[in-house]
Amino acid sequence: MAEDQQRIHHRLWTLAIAATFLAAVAILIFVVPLVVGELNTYFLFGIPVGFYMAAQGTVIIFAILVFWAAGQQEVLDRKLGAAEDN
Amino acid sequence: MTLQHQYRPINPRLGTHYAVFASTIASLVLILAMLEQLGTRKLWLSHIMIISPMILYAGVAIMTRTLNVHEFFSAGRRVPAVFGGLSLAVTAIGGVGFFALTGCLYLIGYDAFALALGWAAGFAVCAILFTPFLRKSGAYTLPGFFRQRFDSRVIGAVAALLLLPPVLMLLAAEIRIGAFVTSLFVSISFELAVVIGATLVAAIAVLGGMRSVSWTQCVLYIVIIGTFLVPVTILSLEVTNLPLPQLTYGGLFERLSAQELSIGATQAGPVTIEAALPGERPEPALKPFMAPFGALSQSDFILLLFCFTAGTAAMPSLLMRSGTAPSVFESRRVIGWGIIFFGLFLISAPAYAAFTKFITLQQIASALPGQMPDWIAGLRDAGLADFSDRNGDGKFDASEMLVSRDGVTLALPIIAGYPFIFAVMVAAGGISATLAASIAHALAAGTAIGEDLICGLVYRSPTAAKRLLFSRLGIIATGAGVAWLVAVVDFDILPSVAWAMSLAASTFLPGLSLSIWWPRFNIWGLLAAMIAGFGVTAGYIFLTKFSGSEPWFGLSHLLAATFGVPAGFAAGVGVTYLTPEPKPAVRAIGDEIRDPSGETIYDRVVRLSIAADAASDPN
Repeated sequence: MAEDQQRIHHRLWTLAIAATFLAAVAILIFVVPLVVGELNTYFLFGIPVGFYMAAQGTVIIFAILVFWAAGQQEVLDRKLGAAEDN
Repeated sequence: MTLQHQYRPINPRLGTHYAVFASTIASLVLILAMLEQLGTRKLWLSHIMIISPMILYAGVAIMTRTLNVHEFFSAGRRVPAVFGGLSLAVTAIGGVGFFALTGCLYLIGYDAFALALGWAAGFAVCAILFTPFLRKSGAYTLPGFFRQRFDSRVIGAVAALLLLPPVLMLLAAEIRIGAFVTSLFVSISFELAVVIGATLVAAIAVLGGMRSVSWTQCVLYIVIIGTFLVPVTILSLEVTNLPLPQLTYGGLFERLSAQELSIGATQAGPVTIEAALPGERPEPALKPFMAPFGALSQSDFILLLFCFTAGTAAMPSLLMRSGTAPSVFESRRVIGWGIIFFGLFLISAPAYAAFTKFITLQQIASALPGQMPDWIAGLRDAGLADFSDRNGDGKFDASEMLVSRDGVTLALPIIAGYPFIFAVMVAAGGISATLAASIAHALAAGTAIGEDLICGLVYRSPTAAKRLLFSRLGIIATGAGVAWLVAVVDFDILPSVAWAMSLAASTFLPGLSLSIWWPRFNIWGLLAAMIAGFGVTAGYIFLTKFSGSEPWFGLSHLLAATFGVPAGFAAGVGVTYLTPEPKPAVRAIGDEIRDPSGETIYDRVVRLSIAADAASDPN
């Protein structure tokens, strides 16, 4: 019974990580291009922020997000006994 | 875990090998640059520069040839995350990224980010939704995963059939652009270049399957990113005194905007997406680089981004890579590294386009009034650029300069006046990029034919020799078929990539996400999801493009996945509820895939069948 509960726990947290991740991706690719006009009034390295996000920012954030999600998932797997090496 | 001791561990000298490859290529370029100064003929230089890397790649493929099934299909599951990331990145860059993306950025500026961001976001989505679960399943191919998940050989064959159109379209686009660039620099015809290219692609994939594809792609990444970055870095050093084009091109924007203003490049109203996406013919770059939505409308931009994201996330040739990681943990990091390496290209491409545009406009402005800079003649002969007397005054000015989309990358070293060897080097890098993507697509298509169609349908438990034979025959058939297609049919690569993305997205994204994330999902739902998604997208493309029907909501056939993906999800969920619940055995496999611990499912099946054979063997 305890094992079953642990598995449900693991499922729910995995789902939570995935949902957070997908929400962040959706904001980056669907919302940021919508407000690009407003963002372009700010500047970063001499580049308007709206343009910068599309050219570099989004990709950099994706890389950080993927490693963050992988790290979170590993911590979760270890804690709930779903790590690969056991 | 249990299988691991049978295979050699990760090679500790991988880094050294790749450093040797990288320095070989670098010294080749340096030697040829010296020979050019000594007056060697250009023809010789271009032949040596383009042919010798191909020999190097073929050499790597020969060194990594294999007759072992596990090596052939999954590179022995010992490609570390960093190297897996390199392979993923080159599969996504390809000739389409190297030439067409850079050209689109030059011609329509910001609006081309719909493609770039779509690719990057697709990586991110598949990292969280699919990759670790496919790695846990351990299936060698995407149709193989469906076959294992629902324990049905028929569903694998259906998936394999539906996999072929998108993957073959991408393969055809890559071979076409590669052969075009090759025929510019090597004195052979386009058709011959197609045949040679397809032969090289098939040879690499046949020799060692996933194993040779993986290790060749790592060499290819080094060549591709090096050749792409060197010219633009030198130009950045000349123009801004800093060798970091990705950071310095911001400083160009004011000057670039002033130049654009002076040639009359103004914010044009959005047009239809077919007209907005640049074609193969040279066209004027009249859209301001930075201005958002001057060519594409905002809704078309977002929908194109959606189609490319969904298509990349569900692209079988990229998903196949998840099986090569040593563990589930590692497979998550593969995508992270993939985004980093692909991202290095993606953040350099706009810099490349901005610097090319800047130097072009500057050179034209500094030429004598009404005169053309002398490089235009050379580019025009190659079909990469042209000019038109738009205002009819009989004189040439910057707004009358036309550039071909796929020629922008090659044009930078020529326009900036660098030695000839730089242009050839960029061409060699671009051809390498097409080769890198092609081998992954050819492998995905060939193994789908051999492993899932032929072996899956004909044999209950095919022997290792049969699996290797049919997959190799499948790769050869793929290469031959695509070579014939490219040589005979005249098509533009960008629309065919957009169609391939839409087809892959609507066929596999709904079915794959539901079969991983929804325990109630059953085989009928999967069948309905794949067929409905594929049918809606293919039907929409066919009706609006070829049979002249009115588009729905004014959406172009390039955005077909907008209808296909929801149709796939709806059909999948609807049919699942109309049919009985999946059997407990099928549910158990679904549960096991979502649990990262324990043995890889596929490897366990293999181990048990070997043990059963040994037990039944009287000796």
